[in-house]
Amino acid sequence: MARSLRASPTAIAGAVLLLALATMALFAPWISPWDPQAQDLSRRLVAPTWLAGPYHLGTDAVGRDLFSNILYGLRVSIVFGVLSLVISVVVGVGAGVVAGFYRGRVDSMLMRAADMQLSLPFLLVALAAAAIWGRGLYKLIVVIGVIGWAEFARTVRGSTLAIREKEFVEAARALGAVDHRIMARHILPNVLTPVIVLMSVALPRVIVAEATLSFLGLGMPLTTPSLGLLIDGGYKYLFSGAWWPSITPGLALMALVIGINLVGDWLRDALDPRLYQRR
Amino acid sequence: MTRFLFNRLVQMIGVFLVISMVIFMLLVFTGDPIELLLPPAAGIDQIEAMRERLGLNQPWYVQYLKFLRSALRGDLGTSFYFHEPAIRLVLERLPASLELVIWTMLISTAIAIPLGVLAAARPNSWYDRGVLLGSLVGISAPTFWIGIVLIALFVVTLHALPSSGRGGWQHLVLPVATLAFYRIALFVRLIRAGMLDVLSQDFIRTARAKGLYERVIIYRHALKNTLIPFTTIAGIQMGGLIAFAVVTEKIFAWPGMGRLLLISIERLDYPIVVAYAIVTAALFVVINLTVDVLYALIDPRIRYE
Repeated sequence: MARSLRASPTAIAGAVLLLALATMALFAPWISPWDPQAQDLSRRLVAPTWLAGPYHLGTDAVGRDLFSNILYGLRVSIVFGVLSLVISVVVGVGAGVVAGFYRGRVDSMLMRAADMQLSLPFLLVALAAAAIWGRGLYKLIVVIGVIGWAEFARTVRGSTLAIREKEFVEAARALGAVDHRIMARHILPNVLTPVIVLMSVALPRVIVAEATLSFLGLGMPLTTPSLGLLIDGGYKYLFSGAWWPSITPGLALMALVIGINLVGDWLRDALDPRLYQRR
Repeated sequence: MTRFLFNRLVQMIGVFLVISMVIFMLLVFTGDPIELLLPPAAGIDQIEAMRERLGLNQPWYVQYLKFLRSALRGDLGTSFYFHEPAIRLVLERLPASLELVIWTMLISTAIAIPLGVLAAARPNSWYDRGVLLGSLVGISAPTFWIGIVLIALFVVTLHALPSSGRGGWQHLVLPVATLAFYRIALFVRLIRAGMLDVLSQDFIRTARAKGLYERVIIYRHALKNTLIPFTTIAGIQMGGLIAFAVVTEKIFAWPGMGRLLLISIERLDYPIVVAYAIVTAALFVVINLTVDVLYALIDPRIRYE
């Protein structure tokens, strides 16, 4: 795997980009020159001063420093993406293994629920859920995380069905292993490869969904530094000539997603060239 | 085939019912629209009278059953805000939204198929790499942000196109371009990957050995086989577009049902939210069934039992 990474310049570019953005986000409190929430109405919509400072990327409509806000926004995006992805994986893989292992009623109920949800587009389900449960970072992490379960469950269930018939599972059973031990020790490790691939597809989708919901006013509360909120607050000022409050945060978001997609493409090729991206 | 269609229809009606119930229940359990409907100075008795009139003082299951009974008669309740039937308000705005969705699908497939086919015909060429790089940017850029970039370029800087409302074709250009951006990028990737896959198969080698023109091989033999799986994904994407239309309608002030939905969520006008969910679910039934039928028509090997 390490060799295939070296052989792929695009994957290296993606990894470097991703690492750079993640580092900046991690050290946001030390790097950012201003308090991201500090408003100063006498300095609203200051154009970017680039390297000279004090406002490298300009200020927004209430005079907050954009560069600092983008750093904190990236932080929120990354934390949001990772945490809600973890929830999706835990719920989805758990449901998938249980459904595939026990089959029968549990299986058909879980899979029917998954099919039903997958017949609706992710963003629409997310939109409905966010509209119902309301704003808030942790609420939204859980909501989006749980919604993401279906694809993981369906894929893992498929692999589980195949693996439960293998000899080593039968051997474990003959040795007296109980169900949950067989599931955790023998089945789980063997169904994870497609899960990693699915994760690389789901992560950008989750991150963009958070930004989109925040942009629509259904995501983060106004006090959270979210890239979607920044863009929402900024785009009304396009017509007064201020492009930076909306365009720049979007560029940062896009760079993050490009990084993830580049690494994800490489992961897909390295782990299983036959797996097809669903959407 | 008939039996299959019937089963699918029953399944979809199930989806339908569940959606309506989930949305209805959750809406009843959250937010109280009374506060938003009456002036802050309204007295207790005024509030109670309003509750009584809207049926909000009954338990949720009574509200849902009443809702279901009138829903079967085609009545999804009256908008708290507009005081008009919710379903009519949503349906009035449906054509505007469908206009965006259909044009986006037509334009993205029309652009993506030739781009993807040409890229697969010359893999690893400069053209292929350019297409791949472009599609990477396309699938990575958030749709709503693309809309803003397009406004910055074509409205604010070039003064070439209108930025809001619905009217002549000029009004369609930017919203459709916004929605098509991601779709084109995704379709190009899928077509390219599918073509490369098909082109490596034995029957293509046979066709080459027969001395067929490369053009005939690519367009007659390979493309046809690539388009079969592509139809399903295009169908899924068409459903997804309904969701993304909500975003685009907000940015371009497009008078569609997505914009109505956002406004109604803000106003806690839940008859409209429920009506939107029902209309959208119906759209999905139609889209999914159409894709299934198309699939069987394109590929004679597929038989639904």
